Amino acid sequence: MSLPLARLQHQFLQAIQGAETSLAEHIAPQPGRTPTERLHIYRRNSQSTCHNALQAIYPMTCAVLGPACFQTLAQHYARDHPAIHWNLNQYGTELPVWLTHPPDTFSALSDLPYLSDLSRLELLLHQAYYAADAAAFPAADYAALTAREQVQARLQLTPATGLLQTPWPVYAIWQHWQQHGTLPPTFHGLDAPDALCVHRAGLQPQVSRITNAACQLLTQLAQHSLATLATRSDVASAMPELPDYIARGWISHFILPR
Amino acid sequence: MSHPAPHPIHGVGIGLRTPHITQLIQQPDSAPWLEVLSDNFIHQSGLDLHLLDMICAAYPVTLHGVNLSLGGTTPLDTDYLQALKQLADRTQAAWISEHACFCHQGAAQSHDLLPLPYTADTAAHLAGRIRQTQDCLGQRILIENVSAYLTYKSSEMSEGEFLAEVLHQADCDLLLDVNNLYVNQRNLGTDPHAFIRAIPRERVREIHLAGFADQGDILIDAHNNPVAEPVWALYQQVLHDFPDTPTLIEWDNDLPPLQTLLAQATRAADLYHQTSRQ
Repeated sequence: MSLPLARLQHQFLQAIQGAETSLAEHIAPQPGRTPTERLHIYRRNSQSTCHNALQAIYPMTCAVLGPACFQTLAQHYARDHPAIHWNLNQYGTELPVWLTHPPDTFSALSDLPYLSDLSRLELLLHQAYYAADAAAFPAADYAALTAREQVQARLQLTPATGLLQTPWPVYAIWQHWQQHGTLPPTFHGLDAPDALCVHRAGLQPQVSRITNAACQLLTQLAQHSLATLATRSDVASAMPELPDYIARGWISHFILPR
Repeated sequence: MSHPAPHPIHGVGIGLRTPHITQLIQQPDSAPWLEVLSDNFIHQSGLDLHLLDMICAAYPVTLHGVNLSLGGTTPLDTDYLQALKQLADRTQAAWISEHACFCHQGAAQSHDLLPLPYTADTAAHLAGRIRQTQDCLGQRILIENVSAYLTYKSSEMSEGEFLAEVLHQADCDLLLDVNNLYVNQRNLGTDPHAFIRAIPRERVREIHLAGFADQGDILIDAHNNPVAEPVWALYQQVLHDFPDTPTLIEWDNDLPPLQTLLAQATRAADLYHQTSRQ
């Protein structure tokens, strides 16, 4: 008895993701490979596509681990986070968090405590590249607000802007990668810790080192009014830099409270 | 808002791939036309879209997609279709092509072109979704025959008969992938000549050529090699049946320098012009 089309397609996707199904019973026998082996071709194709997508986003992470280890890691990651969007640019976004609690098979990753933050930087660069375009900050509109409205405003980061605070020298590693296409021979002695702002300068993603206070300020900008932030000792020192952040295109607009 | 008529597509083009974009912009006569992978540009902004605008100012283009899942049973993604229509307007694409397959089911994505059973019910199902797509896009589309590594016991007809029925019911055109015909011949023992005989001549609007990965007992449609000699031979025969059909060289993986692609296109163009009606 033949499978209804929807059932057949459901089983095909399950088989690709490694689940046991009865689909092989519905595949015509052919010389050479068995139906199950033929299904595995599709599974390997899908794994290969996801692996390639992951490698494109995380080239430094791949270089740290080596291609063979990264490929195995990509397979385990795919089991935990199968592709759920047609756009492969959106695949792999959970890897930095996944790397903080990998499966037992990858217990050796605990010797690479910086890896999650390094991959986080790579993800922010990837997301900055594909982020939606943003208009310039409406300076005239902001200037037209009353003084009270101006301090009540909440400034919003552009979609391309992302932030990272890390105890590891990921900026120095990235700089070396940009200049030489390789990892530094040793990570010892590199500048750390880092607070970084990933943004788009023109059309290309860039990384800028910022102070911890600036990172805190930019992280909390969207949630709090300028008046509130000005009272906070952990971010106050960065407040004078806001016009510069606007000029650099990190902030796209403001929201007023209702 | 009125748009200028799409650019005409003639001769042998190549698939646009990101590493080649700058060179293609700098050398605007590199190919008579380019095929743009629509999924790489839908919902995009920033540098990619900026470069695409420059490409479209220099070359006639077509759009080719892999994610519509026309044979799928999950409802068509109308947001995707709207974005595709916007991209077609922006690029002034001469036409839009997709595949006769399914790609996803529910939220699960294969990122591959999965085969359909060749039944009358499936043909009607596929044709209905193609009509829905064409209504949304406001234009007739092309569907491509896919490579496959298996067939279903439930299939009632050949691939050629199945697609001929779909073309008729959906009133759409065919993108004939000659490499896929050969891959299926080797993998599944199908007859490419029977396929060609089954397809109405007036429906074939574009031809694809690509290379495969040879695993000995099976060929993988990997688009990672030059077009194989048996595929060139089959292309020559196809051109006799469908002369003057715009042809495209596809290469996706292990991408070589642009000159390698252009050399493949030159070889195809020699055959194309030899069999031209002119």
